[in-house]
Amino acid sequence: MRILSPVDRRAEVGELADAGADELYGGYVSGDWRRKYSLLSSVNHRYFPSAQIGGLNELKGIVKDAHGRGLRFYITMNAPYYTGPQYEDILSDAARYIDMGVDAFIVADLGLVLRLAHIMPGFPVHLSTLGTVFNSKGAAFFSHLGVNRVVLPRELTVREMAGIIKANPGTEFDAFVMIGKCPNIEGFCSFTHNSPSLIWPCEEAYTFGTVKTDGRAEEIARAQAGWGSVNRRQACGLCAVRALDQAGVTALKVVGRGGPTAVKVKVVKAVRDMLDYSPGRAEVRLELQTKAKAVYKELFGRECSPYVCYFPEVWR
Amino acid sequence: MPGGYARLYFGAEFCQWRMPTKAAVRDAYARASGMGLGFTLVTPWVTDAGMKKLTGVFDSLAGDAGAGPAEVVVNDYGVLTLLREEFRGLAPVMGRMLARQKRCPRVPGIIEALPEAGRDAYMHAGIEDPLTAKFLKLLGVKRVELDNPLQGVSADLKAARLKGSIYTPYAFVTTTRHCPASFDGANWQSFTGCRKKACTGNVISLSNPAHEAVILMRGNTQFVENAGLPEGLSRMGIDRIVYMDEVP
Repeated sequence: MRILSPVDRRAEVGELADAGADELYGGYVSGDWRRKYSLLSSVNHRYFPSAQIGGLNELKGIVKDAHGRGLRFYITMNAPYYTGPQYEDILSDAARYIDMGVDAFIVADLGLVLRLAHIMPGFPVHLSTLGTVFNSKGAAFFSHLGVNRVVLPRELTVREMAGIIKANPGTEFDAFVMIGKCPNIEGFCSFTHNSPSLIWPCEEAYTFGTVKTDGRAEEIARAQAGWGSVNRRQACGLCAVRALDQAGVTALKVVGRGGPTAVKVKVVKAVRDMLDYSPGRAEVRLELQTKAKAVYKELFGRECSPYVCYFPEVWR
Repeated sequence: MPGGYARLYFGAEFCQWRMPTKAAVRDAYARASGMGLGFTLVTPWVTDAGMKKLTGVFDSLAGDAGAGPAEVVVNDYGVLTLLREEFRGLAPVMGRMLARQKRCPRVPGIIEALPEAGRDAYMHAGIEDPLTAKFLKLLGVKRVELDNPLQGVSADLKAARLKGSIYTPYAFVTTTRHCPASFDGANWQSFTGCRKKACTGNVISLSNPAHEAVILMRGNTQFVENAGLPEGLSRMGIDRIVYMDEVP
């Protein structure tokens, strides 16, 4: 099983490779696109500058250095949708990325999947989690359109993932494992991540009220308010890496475009350590959990929580 | 049911646990047919387990003549595939979750700052893309469903040769599998299951200075209320209004 890490700068490539990453992904929004549509209508579902690679030369450098270290690099073009004139612009960018040597496109929009299959047949396409594949038939739907790899939504259990993977033997699958757990289903969420303070609507401190109740509204509001007690950037699925491997997942995906280099590196290293950890056969699950919890506490300085647990069905 | 309606929408849009039983669907279909109403079964995204349940529901629906072919609103490409493969007698309608629109309650506060082309993108839906529409038509889709988000909508479904529906007054904003109506605070697995069915009797509001609109949350899904309808529905190719008498 591989480790897929975000990258924003050329200088990060070596450190991420040393930490144990096998594959990298990142995004770039051209100056033309920003002028025409603004970063709030981003080509790649990240709406703040630090989550974008700084320029075409920087991007070329990332691809070159990644390949030099034996890593693949995938570029994100995963806005939930595009409108008419945007397709021309993005396809022009896509042709340029192929010339640069990127190894795959990560896309979400059905219209873009169709166009890439027609215009650039055979070039690897990964379906972003925004493509919303929750079942075996959904994966087959995109596989028939030329998608090689599917990033499974954060909301699926390991068992559900295993069923989808087994039913689609010709397709690769990514599973999220660290950082950036969304309270909502990312592919269906239309919250705008535009705040300069990088506080998203799902992270705001809300005042809750009752509109209708059978007596349980306050309890429900308390459960929803729990998201305010955690940092969703401290999400973790380390307990489940062994189970994900057994399920047939191709790569473990670390979230964090735009995050600090030090965090990316230490998280990739933690995932690598968990993958390399081989406890004895007896009590494997318990030992994995014990180690994962210890690693989590060392990474983030706190105990794990159901709100930021990627695989609560695995946790004990 | 009050008069003035031509069709009954029945089912669950956002949660497979809320999907009605086969018997309930058949009963609703029969009642709608008895009242001379068309029948539309609304379906959510589903896991493989949910797909099995839906297959049974579709099976019972397909075998019932009713008052004409039933429609099925799909919010999952896998469900669309299932209909195409096994239930061609049921007419698929692309649901609003797959229509791809900007619906964030923050949008009214930022849209004016966008360049014209960016603003335009915020007013349109991904489903309008003619190539996407052409492909979906090959799969039997002739109708797509849109929300009326706070900034409004300016769709062009005629160019895509699709018919459109618009939902009112509750515009979908976001949804989760981490259902607060299910979570009991201790059992971590309860966060992704359904143990209380507390969604049926409870609606909470979420208010925040970051946006004027109050979010309404029922079960796992959040909405904003946007009374009224955009002008020029016919020009946009929208010929159906889906009215919700409560937060869905």
